[in-house]
Amino acid sequence: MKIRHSIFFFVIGIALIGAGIMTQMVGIARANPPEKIAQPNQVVPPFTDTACLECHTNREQLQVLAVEEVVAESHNEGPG
Amino acid sequence: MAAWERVWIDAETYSKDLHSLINCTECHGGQAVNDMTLAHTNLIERPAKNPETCGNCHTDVTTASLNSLHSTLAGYDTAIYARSVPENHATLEEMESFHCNSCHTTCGDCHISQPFSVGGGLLKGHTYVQTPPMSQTCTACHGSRVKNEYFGLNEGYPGDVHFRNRMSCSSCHTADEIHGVGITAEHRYDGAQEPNCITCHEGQVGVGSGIEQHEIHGTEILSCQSCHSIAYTNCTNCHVAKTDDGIPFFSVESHSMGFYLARNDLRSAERPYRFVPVRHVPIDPNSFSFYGDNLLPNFDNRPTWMYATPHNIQRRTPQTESCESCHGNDALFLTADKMPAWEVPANINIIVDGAPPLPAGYIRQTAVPTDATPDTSTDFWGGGDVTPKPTEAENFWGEEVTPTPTTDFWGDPPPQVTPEPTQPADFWGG
Repeated sequence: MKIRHSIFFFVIGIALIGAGIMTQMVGIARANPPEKIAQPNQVVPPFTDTACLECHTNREQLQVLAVEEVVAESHNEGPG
Repeated sequence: MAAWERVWIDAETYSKDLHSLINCTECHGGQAVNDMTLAHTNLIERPAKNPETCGNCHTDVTTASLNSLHSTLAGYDTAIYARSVPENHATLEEMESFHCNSCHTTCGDCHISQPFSVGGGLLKGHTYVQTPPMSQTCTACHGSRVKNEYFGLNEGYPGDVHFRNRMSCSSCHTADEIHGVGITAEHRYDGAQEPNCITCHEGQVGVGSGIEQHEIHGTEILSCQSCHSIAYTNCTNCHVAKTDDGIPFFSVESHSMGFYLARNDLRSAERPYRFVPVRHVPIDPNSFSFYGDNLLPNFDNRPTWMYATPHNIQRRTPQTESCESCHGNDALFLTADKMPAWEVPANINIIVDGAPPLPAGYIRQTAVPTDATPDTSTDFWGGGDVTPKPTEAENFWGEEVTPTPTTDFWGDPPPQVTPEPTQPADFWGG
């Protein structure tokens, strides 16, 4: 009899704790709905853009091709 | 940075970056072909401008960043609109589009390249940099005030003690703070204090700290910077305009070094201090007159001397030398005679009549350093090693090298036991 009572209260206890946790989780989820910009892609397509890398990892080639930017003369005066 | 270097991808390091799994064109557009012109057609130079680029995977931090001050620059709107009226907002927005908006920061502006506003250029061969290097990112933008003060580049003034102990911006400013996680701020001093000195200096602040001056002043009379900052840059009368060619520019009439304490007009539970250092902000009623007349009709709605947290912290400063350094010393306080008459109405809530008096019964004493042995530095400010080491710093900040200090944190020998407090009653009238 004692054992049956213990099992009964143990099961009830577990159920109550579980219900409490579930309630808490639902409450949190409702209080702070996640703001998502987008969903992460599940699959990343295989890398095929080797042409870009062939040039942009080639230091010598970039030194030839890259053009120095003409920076306009600053007319600012004083600390920015 | 040379033109080629700005776009050079370091194959060795980038290949170890998870982002290298993503096709270039996925973020940058263009086409993956061997024809340079065709490849760069419809190129997206700064893909992080589109929040979905980073937000697709880094959802939470990107969402937060969109509302951060680095992205919204809300501080400008807060300060400018408060001095204006809604009818002028459209004109002021136009002004901001030429003179302010280039400072908008995207994820890529700190983690992939130098900020666009300072010329861009890849940081580490397109490798994602989790903690942006201070000199190339943070102080590249926050230069004229924070950098000069923190690095000790203002002639005659030592760098911040935290700089001398090789702390970078991110040592105090957390990623969450910089990304605005959990923060919706209207300006820099909106909401909780982040960073907060007490985070590291717990036990050294306020009553119970055992430090005489801290015991006397508590935590609600003065901000930490009130005693531990030194003179900082104050700018006046910035005007913006465009050249005949349409190139926007600004002109700051003058700037000077100074230190003033004033009433705290941002007093709140987070910032309960009655007195704080204030910095003159570079504005006057005609700052934007190039774009229209009387754009700031409510100029007096905000002070021209603003709550400040100068980045030049020292253990010993002119204020900490003796009680007389502040008490009875009007020169340290923002009084009406320290500004032109037309600025007084804007600052009426923060200016003081004069310095607080010395407490009754106080016996005047000669200012002496409190350290057991004489300070080895030769400067007035008593800051220890006063010479900034830019070369070492440049190499250091991005690399997380473990410091090997030869002195204590403050660059001083161990302090002697502080004397017994003298009569603390009625300081600051409070």
